[in-house]
Amino acid sequence: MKKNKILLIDDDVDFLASTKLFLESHNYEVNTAINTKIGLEVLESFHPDLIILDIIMDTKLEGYNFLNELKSDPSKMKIPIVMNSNMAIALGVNMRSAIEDVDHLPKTRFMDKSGNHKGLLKTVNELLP
Amino acid sequence: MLQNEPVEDQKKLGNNLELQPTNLRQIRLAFWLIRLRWYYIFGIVVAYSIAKYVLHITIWGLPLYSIVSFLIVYNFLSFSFLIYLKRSRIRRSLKVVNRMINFQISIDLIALTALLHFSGGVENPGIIFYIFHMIIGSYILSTKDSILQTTFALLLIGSMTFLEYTGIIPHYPLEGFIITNMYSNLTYIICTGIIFIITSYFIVYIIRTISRESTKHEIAYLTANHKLREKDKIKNEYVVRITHDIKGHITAIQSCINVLHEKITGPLNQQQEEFVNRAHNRIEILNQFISDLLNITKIKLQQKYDKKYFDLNHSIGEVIKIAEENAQDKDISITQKIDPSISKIFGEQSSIEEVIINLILNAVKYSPPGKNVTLSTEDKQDKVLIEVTDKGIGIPENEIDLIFNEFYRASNVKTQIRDGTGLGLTISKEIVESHGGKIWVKSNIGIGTTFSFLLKKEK
Repeated sequence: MKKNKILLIDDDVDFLASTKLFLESHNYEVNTAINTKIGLEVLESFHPDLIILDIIMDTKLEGYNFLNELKSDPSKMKIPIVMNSNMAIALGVNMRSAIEDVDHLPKTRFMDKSGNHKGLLKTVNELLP
Repeated sequence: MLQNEPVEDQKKLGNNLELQPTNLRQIRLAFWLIRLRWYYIFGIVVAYSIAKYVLHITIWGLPLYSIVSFLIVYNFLSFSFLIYLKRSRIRRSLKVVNRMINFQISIDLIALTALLHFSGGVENPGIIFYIFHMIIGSYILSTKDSILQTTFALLLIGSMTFLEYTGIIPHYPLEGFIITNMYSNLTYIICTGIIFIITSYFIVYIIRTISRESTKHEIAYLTANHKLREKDKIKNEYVVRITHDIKGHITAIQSCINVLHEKITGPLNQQQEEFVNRAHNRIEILNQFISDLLNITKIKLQQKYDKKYFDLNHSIGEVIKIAEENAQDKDISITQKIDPSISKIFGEQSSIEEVIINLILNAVKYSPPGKNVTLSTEDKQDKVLIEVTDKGIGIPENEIDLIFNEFYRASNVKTQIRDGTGLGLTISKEIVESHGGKIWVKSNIGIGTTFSFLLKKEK
């Protein structure tokens, strides 16, 4: 059976390695990128079914800007994206309502980043039935 | 000069005039002046009624009622303008408020002179009321403005007396009260005039001297308070930044431990499993603590909430779904007693949901397995009452008042339940109070606890 493919973009190598392993153990094919620039390159060749994306990387809104870029590209806008951030509160905006906007950003979920992968797995399973 | 001091303070304090102590003081005094005027209007009506109906003194009522009506309208307009000024964050608000106070005192003096003119002129003992205006003016205004207002008052009294004495304007005697020809007694007028002038300027001098000292202390206190708030804000921003960095590391550690905990890399022996579990549990507690710390700091930094009308019952439904996942692990049932008449309320939906989930998860956490937690809502006219009741361990009576303090955990839970941060209730209290509401708790040891909070329904 064909595995669903997930692209994981995060600037924390330890988080990337452990989360990759976790998702692979749950029957997903996972590829990782340390920033959105590499993420875009991987995206073109890997063709993921879902992207897990950190928000604050090199810049405060790198992930969010990348999300907007993808969602405005007709060939990529249908890819489900899970925004995963440690900094939801400190960003000073209600990220959940900004991101989970069905019209503006379809198939996008927001998650408060956690090393406990349960919540992440649940969201991924919902978006990739 | 006093006015120079506040201006200096203003320069030091930067651009946010809305928060500046001198502005706040003057606006507070302007409101005080308006409040005094309401008492004054009430006093005139009472004094007139007593004079006319009890003492049977002849007073012409029409001009008096006209002046009172004018004062009522004028005071209401002044109040509205002041509210507008306070809300509109006008950059030059201090100047505008000072001008407004000056204008109001001048109008008050003119109104008093008109009142006296129609009720005996210089013969009316109410002439003493000029002194009140001078005291009030000297307390609120700068020395220069106080002297100008006093001179204006003396000119008004002098002109009225002179014009009545020379017969240019009519004299309205208070018949049946005092000797009614004093206004034409030149010796009386001159002596009273000299005493009045000396008393007036002397009062201005005394009040200004006292007021200058007290104003200096008041401004210093308000300035210190303002600076403390600024520093607290900087500290909170620092905490947010540092906490975020720490949270990044914690999340990565948790993520790595989770791989071992889930045995993804292979089975663990009994001892390895025990210690991985210990680390896993502790990191969960630490992660929750950091999330709460970030949350409480952000709430303190947050000046404004994104408030809108939202469906409270829908929110409760969503919150219950999340809470039930936790409750099921302990075989705890959640009962809802929802008042169907409540529909939309005004507030930040996510924050209000956070308060409700905090209270329910607390109730679940501190209840023994198999018990019940109740969430109820009740319509209280313009407010809504939300209550969460459990049959848990309860809070010791002497700790009830401390339970909303930052990092406070009741003595009977510290040993039994380790995964509390002591911040959940503080966050809830901050949110409820920022919405103009009130939160409180009633508890009996061993029987249970009810957390209640009231929220306004409308803006």
